[in-house]
Amino acid sequence: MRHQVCTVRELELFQKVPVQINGKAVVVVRSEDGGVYALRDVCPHKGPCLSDGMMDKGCTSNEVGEYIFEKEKEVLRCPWHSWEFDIRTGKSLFAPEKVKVKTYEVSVENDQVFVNM
Amino acid sequence: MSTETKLEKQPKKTLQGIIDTDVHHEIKSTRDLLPYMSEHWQRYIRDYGWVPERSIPFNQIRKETKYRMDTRPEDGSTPGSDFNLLKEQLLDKHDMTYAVLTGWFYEASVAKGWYEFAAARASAYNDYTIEQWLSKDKRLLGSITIPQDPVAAVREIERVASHPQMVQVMLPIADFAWGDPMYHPIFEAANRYGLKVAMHLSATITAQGGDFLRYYVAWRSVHPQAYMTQTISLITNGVFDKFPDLQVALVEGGFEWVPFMMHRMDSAYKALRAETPWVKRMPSDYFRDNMRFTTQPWDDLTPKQFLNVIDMMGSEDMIMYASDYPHWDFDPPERTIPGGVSETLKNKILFENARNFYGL
Repeated sequence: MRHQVCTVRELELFQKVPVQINGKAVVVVRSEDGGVYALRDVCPHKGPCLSDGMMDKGCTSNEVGEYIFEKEKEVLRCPWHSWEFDIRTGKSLFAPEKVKVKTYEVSVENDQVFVNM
Repeated sequence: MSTETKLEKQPKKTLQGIIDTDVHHEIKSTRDLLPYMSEHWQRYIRDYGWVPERSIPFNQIRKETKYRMDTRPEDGSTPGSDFNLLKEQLLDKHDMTYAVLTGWFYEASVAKGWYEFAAARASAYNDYTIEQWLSKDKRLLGSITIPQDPVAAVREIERVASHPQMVQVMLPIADFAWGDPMYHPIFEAANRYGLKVAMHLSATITAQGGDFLRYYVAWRSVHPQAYMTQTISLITNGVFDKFPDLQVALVEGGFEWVPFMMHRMDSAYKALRAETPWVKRMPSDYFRDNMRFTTQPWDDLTPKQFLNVIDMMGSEDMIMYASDYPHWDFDPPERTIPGGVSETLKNKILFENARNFYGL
């Protein structure tokens, strides 16, 4: 079922917007290229809202002292223990198949953002 | 003790309470200390631009660096410096029975030289803690901050030990070992007043075989090594033989290494006892009878792994819950001990062990 949750304008302003859908905490986020994604707003580790954390980029390297920010890998970083979750897949960067948060289908019509749940 | 038994379902017991043994209240700035200092020392902070030495070179790749991102007060001041927010986010939210304030002003205890000023800062911090924190909530318990100079340290302990909410003397872990006989007057004074001793890493904590490591992740990983050094120092210098009732909490240094060190020291003692004949008991006995360790940072152990550690320690009484609020690696009491650990053991870790340790 489709739920109207926020506006694109709000996402442009805040990058991440926490919402409640049927009592479930969901965070809607906007990538740098304007894509909109929705993830469960609970860190599977200790439980705080991921929306209290920060949007960040993935960072990789080929040698000591090198830092390469990954344009395509945007993450939501937990406010407590800093675990990073890919905003597109919900997968953690350290154990993508084992540790992840649920993601939800999102659609945008006019200025309205809808989450399918 | 059989780990299998512990993993079996047991009748649910109601949790008796929660005691958090590591809560970092902070000052907003060193100006908070001014009301508790003489004119002479006030001038250094107010007029001469003195600031504490920042000995840690790291800054984490995250907002708020070492703090939980949701703990900065609305006025933008330092996380942990607002009593009302700490009360709301920690004491009330997690229904704490007691929370032991461990502060974050260890620089006064580990600073080298100029001990008169360090003593004045330690005193001011204690008075600030009493007036701005302990007096506001009976659930809060305090740690006495001391300068490193043993004579001044004893004087400070004697000055504030009678406060009913002061429960321990804080010995920050830096680059020297507190078991050295020159520091024994501090243990004597703590013991005389029935205070416990806590040890917690400071920003100048170092480790052997590489000293101050290059990255935060490396430095944080090596912390337990410095805690090992402290336990070895206390035992081999006969601190617990001199003060058999002394109780020491090693806070935020992990606990999985404890059974390793108990066994390693016991095996060394059997062969090398004659070198330190003032040490009268097997080292593991001092671990069990005189030392306690805390849960945070919880290393994501499975219940089975955790129970194996307890089994190797040979005691369920050595570990106490700690949250480390408001720091980034905060562990909430509801999400620390994994499911599958008996309610009895959970209750000991979250409540009973600390209640017995502090005599609450």
